[in-house]
Amino acid sequence: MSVTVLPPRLDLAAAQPVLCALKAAAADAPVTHLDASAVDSIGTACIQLLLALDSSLSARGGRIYLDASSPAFTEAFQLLGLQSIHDRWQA
Amino acid sequence: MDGRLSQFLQTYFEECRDSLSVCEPLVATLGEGADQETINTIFRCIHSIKGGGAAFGFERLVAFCHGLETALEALRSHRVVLDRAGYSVLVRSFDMVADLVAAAQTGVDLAAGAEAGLARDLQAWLLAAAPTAPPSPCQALTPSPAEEPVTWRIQFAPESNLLRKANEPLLLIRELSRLGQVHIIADTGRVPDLDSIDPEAAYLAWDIDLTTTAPLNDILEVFEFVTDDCRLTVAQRDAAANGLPARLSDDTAPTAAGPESVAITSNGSSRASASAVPTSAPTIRVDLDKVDRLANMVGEIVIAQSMLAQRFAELGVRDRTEINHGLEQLAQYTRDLQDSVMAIRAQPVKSVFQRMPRIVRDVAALLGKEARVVTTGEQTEIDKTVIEQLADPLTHLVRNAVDHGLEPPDERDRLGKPREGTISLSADHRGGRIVIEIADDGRGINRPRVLEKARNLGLIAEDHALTDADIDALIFLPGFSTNELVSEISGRGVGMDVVKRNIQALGGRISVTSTAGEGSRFSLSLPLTLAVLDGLVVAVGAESYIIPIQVIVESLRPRATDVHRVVGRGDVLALRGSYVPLVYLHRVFEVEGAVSDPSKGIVVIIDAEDRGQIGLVVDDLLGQQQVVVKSLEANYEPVQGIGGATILGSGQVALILDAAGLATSSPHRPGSDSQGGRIR
Repeated sequence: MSVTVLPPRLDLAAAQPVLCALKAAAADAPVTHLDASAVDSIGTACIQLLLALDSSLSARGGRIYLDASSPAFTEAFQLLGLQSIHDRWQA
Repeated sequence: MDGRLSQFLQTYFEECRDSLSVCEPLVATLGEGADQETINTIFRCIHSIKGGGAAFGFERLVAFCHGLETALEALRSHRVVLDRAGYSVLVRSFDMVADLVAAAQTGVDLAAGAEAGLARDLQAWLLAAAPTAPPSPCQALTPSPAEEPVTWRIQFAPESNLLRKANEPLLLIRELSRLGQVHIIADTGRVPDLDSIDPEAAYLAWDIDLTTTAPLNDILEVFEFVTDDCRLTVAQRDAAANGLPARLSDDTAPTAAGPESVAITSNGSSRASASAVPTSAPTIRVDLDKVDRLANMVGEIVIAQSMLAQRFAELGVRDRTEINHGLEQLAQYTRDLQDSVMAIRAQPVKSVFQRMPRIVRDVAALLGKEARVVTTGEQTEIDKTVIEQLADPLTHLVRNAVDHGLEPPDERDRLGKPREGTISLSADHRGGRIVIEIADDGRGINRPRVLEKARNLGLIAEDHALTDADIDALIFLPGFSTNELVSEISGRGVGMDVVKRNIQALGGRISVTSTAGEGSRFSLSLPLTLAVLDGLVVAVGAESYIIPIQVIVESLRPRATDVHRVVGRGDVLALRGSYVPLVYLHRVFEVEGAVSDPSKGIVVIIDAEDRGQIGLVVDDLLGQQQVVVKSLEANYEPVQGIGGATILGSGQVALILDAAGLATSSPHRPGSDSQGGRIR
């Protein structure tokens, strides 16, 4: 099992590299484990990428496992009305 | 940071500068009583600086702005009253915001905790000024329990490019959540899969229920900078549900009858408050370099048009009616074009004037004086270059007015004057120039003291009789100062002579009038632009030179008997009881075949600033004309005695003379014994 560790700063400038990393992770297996414990800040762009990853994996019968989450990561999902998705990934 | 982000950052700092520039004069007026619109405007500026700062991660700036917003919010909701202590701490806080912005821009951080003391002062003032226990910063923006909360349904759907414009929905929603209780439902339906997603496009949309006592305008302000990049609908949920007309909560509610709701789309916008969003003509930001290139190109067209007209005149075509008509039209359009381009570069003097209240405040505080600034004509426009170079002399004059002009409050009391002195700044267009006046209602120039000092310094002879105006003008002499002590304020080694030199370098003049016990008035007359000037074209041999009109005192053909040789110091012209040193331009510029006898040529008397008057010996006067100034420094290198160059209608390049530089290079300068004074 490989875990994709998200970097501390996930702003718009990070979106393109994160997309590449997520595509690579999704190509390996239908299930992706994420470690978001180091995330200091995350913006809408990168959250959308995670939602897109979720969508791609779901289409293949897979899912995201959120192994660890930082307060900033969790708060961002709460603020954007995505708490239920965040909780689902943690389950 | 990639190129686009760095471009956004540059735009952010430009907007910060604009916001601070809007704030600066408004903050100065807070001391005279704060009206609601002033506080609202200041709040919006700080909010805007904070919002952008958050997007770029300037945490110290954001945190400090947040504290300041809290104080402003308390002020505008009348939870605190602005007293003297509050005014002082607010003024210092705005200075700190400017410092934090500068630190963010330059990357040179302020000392750790530099803003912490001020943040504590703000808190302490809020505690002291509030009639009841003040809210904590986090509570400050939450609704007062005394008002009835209202639930708003906010539908926020960003356009695809919203993120690319450095906007962050997360920050907007966080700001919204500070206004009250939020219930947020995200619409993820537009988010594509990983293979199709554009990583920088916006796909999410939100329905947000906000329960708050905050007015509609506070909600709209959150979205103030994204209205062009989203679909936004704000409607009062309860009223819509009940099918009843919504309550108009305050004066800033929509003017149209019906439910209190507002829809803002990228195609057009309607706002809840006309006063909150002042209508203005659309504007664009353009690099100054581009405007300069345009101005330069127009200068070339002016020269080409002038050359064309002269060539046609020289051709001697018999039936020239139609050609003349065309040339006149071309000349008119060219002048209009030049005026239009100059108007682009023109800026209101407000940008300089608005710095002065703070300077006066600081200087007065340091000296234990009380002073206020009254400005008029601040919308008067002048070329940007002139404005930039005007700031230093104006600052010096204002410092001087407070330091030397205004009496201490107790002395003013004794004299029957208001304890608070007044510094008046005014600007006006007069005769194609701008006249700026700096006046104070202080003690006026102490003429006996000035006269004594001038005599002690040997600047004037003991028996030399001077008029009041002559004595006042002595303060502009180099090295002149009546201040025995080196003042922290205006005695920074820079005298009024430097102010005069700076003004003259701008093609301007400065004068002073003063009445003992009533105050002094400095008057600055400046050209509207440095790109063109009125000049006298003079001939020296086969060459032509331009003498700026504003330095010319008179021109004459002297008698041979009026020209005298002073051994080792060159020639002088006896003129109405005085001797004026002569400078032979043909010698200075090594021109062959020129008139060398002043009685056979013309002597143009010019005011060479602190070197007094000098007479330029030329062959002939060819006429007066407006010329387009080309910088010699930018195109070649600085040359002493030459202020620039221009191209005449004949196509001939003519040098524009710099009076002060010529005087310095003339053989009459102290210690010089040559007659050459050549400039290469």
